Amino acid sequence: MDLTQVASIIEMGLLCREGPCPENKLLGLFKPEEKVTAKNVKDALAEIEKRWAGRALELRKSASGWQLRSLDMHAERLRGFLNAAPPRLSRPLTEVLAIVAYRQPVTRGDIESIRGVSTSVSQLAVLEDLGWVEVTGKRDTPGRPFEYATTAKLLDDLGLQNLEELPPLESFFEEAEAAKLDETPADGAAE
Amino acid sequence: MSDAIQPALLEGQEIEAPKSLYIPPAALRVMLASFEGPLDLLHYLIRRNNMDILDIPMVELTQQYLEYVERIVASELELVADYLLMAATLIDIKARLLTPQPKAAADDDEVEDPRAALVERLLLYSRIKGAAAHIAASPIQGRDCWAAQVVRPRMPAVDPRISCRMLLQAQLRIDERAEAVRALTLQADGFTVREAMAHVMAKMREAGEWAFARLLGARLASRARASAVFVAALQLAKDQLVRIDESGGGIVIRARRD
Repeated sequence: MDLTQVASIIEMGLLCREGPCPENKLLGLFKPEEKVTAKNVKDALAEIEKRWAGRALELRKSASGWQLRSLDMHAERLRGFLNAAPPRLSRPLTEVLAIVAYRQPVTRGDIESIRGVSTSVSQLAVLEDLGWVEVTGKRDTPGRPFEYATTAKLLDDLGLQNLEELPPLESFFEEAEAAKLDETPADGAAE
Repeated sequence: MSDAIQPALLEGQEIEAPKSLYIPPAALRVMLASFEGPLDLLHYLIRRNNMDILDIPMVELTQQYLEYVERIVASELELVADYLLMAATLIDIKARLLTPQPKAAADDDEVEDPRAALVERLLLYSRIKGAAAHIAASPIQGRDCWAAQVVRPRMPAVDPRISCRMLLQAQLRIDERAEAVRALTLQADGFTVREAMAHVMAKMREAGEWAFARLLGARLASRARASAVFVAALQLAKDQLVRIDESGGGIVIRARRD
């Protein structure tokens, strides 16, 4: 079986299957006598990626596997077309999410001490409802508070394979500093 | 604009507060809602005044904080605690900055800047804010992009051996059943239980004793009539006007004398 055929069959599998598909599962599309190897699957995925280049769908690998999804540059038109109500991500919600993502596992107390605000219950509940955050255990400290961590669904929804793909936390302050440096010459020029 | 951007505090020595650090009470009221808490406010004040995060002017910030607390005491009690704690922390830091360090611990490593812990927290919070903004701006599935997938309608399992002949037979069976249902249509024949009771009592007067089967017998035209007579007999028995006994040959119905 040649590469084009393998790619076409995998493409069919990805389109007809619900949710992202892990690479090893894709081998299940082929009979043993067809002698398709993991390497063939990898090459075929690269082929599919090439096929969709310049079109409105892209092949994307996230934590749970491969998936064809729409390009986010078309977000607005597709949102209207699908009549989809996007989840509203408020500032407190994304701050709590960022804390869980970067400092996990964290307790409510950790989150509240980082944000300096003693309210995070409702945000955690929303994030749990979205399936982005889950309780992974209890910390061995007085009160045995719940520990929260991010889920594979969060990575899938962000199109990430793992948490390491998020930019390091240290880079964010540098960005803020760089932005501030950019402002300074403009001020000087105004004088 | 750049007039305001100057260090507000030089190693414990106060300089005139920059105008922009002080937010008029009316404006403060409006800003109340836009802060996530004391760290957020601190973060804002420092950025707004382009101050070094490592050299926070304590006096002005503390003043601003206490002002803030006064404003929110009335509205959001829960937040006040957070702001008060922050104001207290700022005052504590200021107090320790003003107190002379014991000279004995001249070793630089030993002298800990009282601001260090706050600066650390502020730095972390500032990074978290950056990370949060990054996540919010990332393409998120369900908001900015959607999985492409063929929709497979859920079909009921169909017997593949079905044929035209079987369909025809099924149709014929349905027709037959429809016919039977039509034949079953009931028609009231105007013979009520009350009339049947009168009929039974008349029979009783005719002869004191009847075989139950005969009472329901041949002269009763329809099944509906037979049923009516049967129910009438039961009703009369209940009303103690007749007795129904089983004896030797069958069921006998008699008028009650007493």
